[in-house]
Order: sequence, then structure tokens, then C-alpha cells
Amino acid sequence: MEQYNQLSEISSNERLRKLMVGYYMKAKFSWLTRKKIAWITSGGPVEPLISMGITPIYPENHGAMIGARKMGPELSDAAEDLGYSRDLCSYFRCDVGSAVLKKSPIDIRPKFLGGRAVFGGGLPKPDLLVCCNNICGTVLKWYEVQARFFNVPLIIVDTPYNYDGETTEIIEYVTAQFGEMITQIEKATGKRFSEKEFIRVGELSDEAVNLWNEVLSICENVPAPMTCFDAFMYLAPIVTLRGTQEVVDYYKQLKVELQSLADRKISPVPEEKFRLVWDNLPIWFKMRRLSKTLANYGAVLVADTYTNAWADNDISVEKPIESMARVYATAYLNRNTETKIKNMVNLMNRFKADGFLIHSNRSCKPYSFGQLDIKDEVSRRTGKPALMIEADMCDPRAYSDEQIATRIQAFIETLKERKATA
Amino acid sequence: MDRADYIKFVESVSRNPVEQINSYKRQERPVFGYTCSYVPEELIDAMGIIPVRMLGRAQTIQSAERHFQSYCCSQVRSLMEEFIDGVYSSLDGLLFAHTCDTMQQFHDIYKKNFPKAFVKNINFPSRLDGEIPYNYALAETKRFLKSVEEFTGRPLSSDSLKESVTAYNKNRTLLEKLYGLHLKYPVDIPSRLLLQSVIMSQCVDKREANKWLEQFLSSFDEKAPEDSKRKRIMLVGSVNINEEVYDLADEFGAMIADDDLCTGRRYFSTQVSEPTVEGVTRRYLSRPHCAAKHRDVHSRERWLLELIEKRSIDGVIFLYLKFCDPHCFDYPDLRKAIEGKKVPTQLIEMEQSVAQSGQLRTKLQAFVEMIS
Ligand code: SF4
Ligand code: SF4
Repeated sequence: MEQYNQLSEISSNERLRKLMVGYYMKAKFSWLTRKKIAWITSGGPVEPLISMGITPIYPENHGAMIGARKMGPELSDAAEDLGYSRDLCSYFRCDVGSAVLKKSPIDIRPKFLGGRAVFGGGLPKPDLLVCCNNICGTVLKWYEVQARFFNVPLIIVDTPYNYDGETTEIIEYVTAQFGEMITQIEKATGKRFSEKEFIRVGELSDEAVNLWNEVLSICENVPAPMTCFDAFMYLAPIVTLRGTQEVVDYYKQLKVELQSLADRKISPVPEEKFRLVWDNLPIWFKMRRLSKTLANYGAVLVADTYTNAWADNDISVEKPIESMARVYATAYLNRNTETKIKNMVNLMNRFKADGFLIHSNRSCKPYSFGQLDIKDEVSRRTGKPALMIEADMCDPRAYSDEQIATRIQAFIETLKERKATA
Repeated sequence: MDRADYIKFVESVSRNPVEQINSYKRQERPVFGYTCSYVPEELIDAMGIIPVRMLGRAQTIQSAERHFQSYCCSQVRSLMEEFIDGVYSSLDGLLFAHTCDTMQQFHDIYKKNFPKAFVKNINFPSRLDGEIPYNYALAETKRFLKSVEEFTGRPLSSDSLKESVTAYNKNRTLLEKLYGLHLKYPVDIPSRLLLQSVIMSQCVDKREANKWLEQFLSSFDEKAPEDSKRKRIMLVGSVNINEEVYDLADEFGAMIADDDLCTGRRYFSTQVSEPTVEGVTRRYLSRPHCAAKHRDVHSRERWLLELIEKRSIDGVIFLYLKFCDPHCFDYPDLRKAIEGKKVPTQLIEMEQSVAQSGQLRTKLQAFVEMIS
């Protein structure tokens, strides 16, 4: 089995870098182009904004970058100094810390200005905040804090959790709010909404989501041509730029390249021995280390529930607003635990997994509470073992490399024994 | 009944409502537990079911460890422990209402582990502003009602709803009166009686609760002047069952004069103005709201400052359960707003049911000294 060197094989990686730098660059310079900026939650309805020429900014994506750059503790400390508990979501803590300290991985130093940091680090100031609680109740509180801090309008799209599945009450409620939201955006930004433009953006968004789904599905191949550690990186455009042509083009190219690796049976690890499914957000500050540890054992993360959360979309042309309401009201984290169990079992089967890793993420309570039951139930239904590791996506202060390494080693032993007796 | 009887009664029921539940069961009256004060109790009561508030009282967590990680609030962890231990096995059902992420997950986990139990959730909106949330809340209340009607096998009658709303409104008036009299009689009505009386009201048939309250309160003269010597402390937080805070405030010569707690004022504020499903829905949307809900970005601040002013509060204690996200998010801005009015504040984080060490005493003492 051949091994690929990610950087040289996948030329779309360079494209990804350019796409993201360009995106943040444009956002930072929005005052030049007089574009309005809206901060929006990662699962939020971005299509209306894009169709109205408003730049969407995702503090959660920013949080991920902060985590990956290992800036979590410093920025979190700043939030804690203000009185925010260390037990709150670390994306939030990093976001607040960054807004206060003006520090961030996004620190654009234009060459023509002698490479000086002219605007301070961090996200461009919002003109408007759009919060959709289909991922958690945390964002509701988070955006309230930021609305007071920046003193800008806050639009809330309340998407009740699907306790009893998708009810007509929920769909009607969310549909009504979308109508209201459009008026509110118009009022806050002075832009006009056009249904035609909205449908065009919706179609692009749909296309990107479908492509993203296809990209992730390539890992059904044995060996898988990428791991989730790659997918966590490739995720950024679908979160931040869905609804644009660039994203569609990017995933088209990525798909072709990954398919070609798959066809040639090229794998990111020397020998793929164990295929694993991951649950919850990545541990951003340990991506490299964890991927190495697993690769040493020939273990590959072939699928995860997190990146798959963006692989589901269906905005229809006939009833654009209502179908958008349905899409956003039934987002992955908004579905009940039984649905999550079924989804995981499905991923395990589809990707021919030998086991699964559960990241019990102190930051993300809605994603993590229920995991103990999910773990038992998915194991029972699939007959595959699981390992739960407790960590946090951005805050390394409660993380122990040795402890995690020992636990992974023990888990790999279990997998080996199973393979031997199978 | 004399005052001592009342004090004894509220103490026993608020500390352990199981005996109360069992006595209803012996009378063959159905009892539902409910986990959140957004469950529209009037509707349950009007269907002939007694709603009893669930507050986790387990001292140690063992069995619940298998379902909830250590970073989950103790209200939920200790409740799960009690459910697994069968403390509330005589309940006929359990009702949830949508509030925070933790409670949301608790619903699913409970349902999964008790597949035979009657479990219903009212998916109350997180937004409380305007007609769109109201329309949804009303539709959802009706959906919820239907599922309870399926349990009882008969529809809600408007007469019994009227009767229930009257009993509930009366209870609210009585608790309000208790809070007022407490300011006049800080010795005869010790601070902890506020907490115990609210929890008692949440666990006992309202008519019975009202009888007890009425008799107790009638022994006081409403025209007496308010005590002017004791410093007035207000508590802010989610749920609380800790009596020690109240006792310590009294012991150090101050008092707990009011609160913004789910086991306090948030429970009984705001009457139902019209005895219909619509009227009940409106009440739950317009009552002082929990931190997990949104009216506008300053609504909780406004409400707290108003209360501080009205009650001439000298100091505010944020009494939080560890890992309670909604409240922890509000804390820094609320603190700033309150301290901006020259009212000192103190944050106390604790675990439900876990006996407090000397720390609580030291903190309370220092705080009372500071505001004196
Ligand atoms: S609580 Fe979870 S879903 Fe919500 S913002 Fe934090 S990480 Fe994201
Ligand atoms: S509001 Fe706070 S105390 Fe209540 S269940 Fe939620 S996290 Fe726990």
C-alpha cells in the first residue's frame, strides 16, 4: 500500500489556503468595499446573507483556528478575567478573549504597508449578529454577550430541539422566523432581499453540500484516501463560504484528487489496519499528535459525526423559505439522541469501521451529554468497541498526552485481539 | 394549626417530598414529576394530576456517573441518581420543558433508560419576544396538552381549568405576601421559610398548600412596619435547595430579602390573567425569565435592577450551581450592571446537595460585613 504525502499530492490544499486567506482578507477590508459584516453561528442560515451581499463571519471557525494555533489558554484567560467561567464553551471564551485583546491567528499584515499589523488581530467588527440555536443553547447566550459588547442588532432564529422528531409546530415556527429575519436584515443593513438571488445562492449551497457529502463518502474506500484529520481542515469552506461558486469549484477539484488516490489505493498511513469513526469536535490543539499516534498503529479515522453534520441540505426551488426552515430546524445536533445513535450506527456500517472514538468534550455539553449512553448502544448494535477520551476542543489545560496515549494503546490492543479472533 | 406546625410541615415536605407523593398515591391520585418551572402546571392540575417539582437531592453520585460526565451540573446528575435509585418510582410520569442544553440531553437520556415511563416534554421556545414565539408556544402547549389528555383519557374541561388557575393565582399571591411579611418579621419568618414555602408549593396540591400558607400568614399583622436594621441580600441563580445560605444570612444579622431563583420568585411571579390555554401560555412567556431564555439582551438586567430598587437590596449573591452554563454566561455583565448601581455582589458556586464546608460561612460573613 502506498502512502501519500498530503501536501504534494493534493494540490487543492493550496487552493484551500488561498480560499480561506482571501475570505478573511476580504472581510478585514470590508470597510473599503463598504460591505456589511454579519457574525453568524456555524449552523446558521447563511444563504439570505450571501444573497444580499453581506459577508458572513463565523466565530466558531475562528475559535477552531485559535485552538489549532494553540492560542486557547491565553485568550481564554482574558475571558476568565472578565468573570466568564472556565467551564463555558472554549469557542466562546476564545472569541471574547480575542475581541478584548485584539489578538488572533487572523492578523493581516499587508505587504504594501510594510508588513505591519495595521488593523489589530481578530475578526472584523460585526454590523449585525445572526444566531441560530440549532447547534446548542450556548450560542444564544454567547451572542447576547456579543450583542451587548458590540452594541449591534441581534437576530435570533430559534429552532426548537427535535425531541419528538420534526413536528409541524417547529417547521411553522422556524418558517415564520425566516420571514421575520429577512425583514430584520434589510432593516439593519439597508440591503434588499431578492428571492431570485436567494434561490441562486440556495442552489449553490445545495451543490456544495452534496459535493461535500461525496468528498466524505470517498473514505468508504478501503484503504481510505484521507483521514478525518484532513476532513477537519477541508471543512472550513463548507462552514464559512457555502452558497458561493468558489466553494463548489474547490470541492469539485478536491473530490477528483481524492478519488484518484482512492483508485490507486493510496493511503495516508503506511498500512490501514483499523478503521475508526470519531464523534464530536476535533481536539484542535492535538490534531498532529493524535493523527501521528493513530497512524503509528495503522488506525485511520474514516468518518466522523462532526464533518458529516454539514453534509445534509435540501433547499428546494418551489418553497425556498420553508425548505430552508426544514433544513436548519433539523440540523444534526438538533436531532434527538436516538437519531444520533442511528446515525452513528449507519456511519459505522457504511464506512466498515472496526470501532469508534468518542471525544467527550467539556466545552460542548449538548454534543457530549448522552455520549455514555450512545457509546453503549452503538457498541451493542454494531458489536464494535469504543473508547471515550475526555478533552476539550480548544483548551489544553486539562489534557494529558501520556494518559491519552496509554488509553489509545490499550484500545488498539482490544481491536487487535478482536481481529485475531474474528 | 399554629406557626410551629407550618414550619414543621414546610420543612419536611421541602426536604423530602416522597412521603407527600406516597400519600397522594394512597388516595389513588395520579402524580407527575416535573423538572422545570416552564411546565405549565395549571394544565396538569386541571387534568386531575398533581405536579411535583423534581429537585436532585442525592448526596453522592454513583449510578449516574454511567450517564453523565463530571462536567454536568449537579441538579441533573443528582436527579438521575435518584431516578436510578428508584426514589421517585411511584410517579406516574415525568414532564420536561425545554430550557438549557443539559436539561435537553437529560430528557433523552432519561427516556432511553426508562423506556416504560410516561415521559413528555413541552418544547417551549427559547425566544419570548413577540407574537411569533407566542404562536409557536401556544401550538406547542396544545400539542403537549393532547399527549396528557391521552394519558388521562379525557379532554381538559374549561371549568376545571378555571378552578386550577384560581388556585394557582392564589398561591402566587400568598407567596408574594409571604415575601412581603418576611421583611416585617425577619425573626418569626426566618429567611429559609421563603425557600421552603416555595418548594412546598411546588410539591403539594395547591389547595392544600394555600390552606397552610393562608393560616400561617393570617397570624401576622400586615400593617406592621418593615424591619430597617437588617441588611437585605438578594439571591440570583438557577435552582437552589441549600438552606444554609439563608440561615447564615440570618445568623450574621442580615436577611435574604428576595431572589431571582427558579425555587423562588421566578416560580410565583406573574399571574395568569385569563383562565384559558391561551392565558396560561401568555403567563409562561411573560413571567420573569430564566437565563436559558431570551427576551432581549438587557431583559434580565432590567428585571434585576428593578427588583433591587423596589426591595432596597443592599447586596446580591450570585448563587450558582457549578457547570450551569446559562447563568455563568450572564454573570459578568449582570455583576457590572449591579455594581454600577453601587450594590456589592458575591459569586458563590456550589454543588447541589453537597454539604458546604466552612467556606460558605466565611464567605457569607465577609459579605455581610462588607454591606454593613
Ligand atoms: S457548545 Fe458546542 S455546538 Fe455550541 S458553540 Fe460550543 S462547541 Fe459549538
Ligand atoms: S439551568 Fe443550570 S442548573 Fe438548571 S439544568 Fe440547566 S445547567 Fe443545570
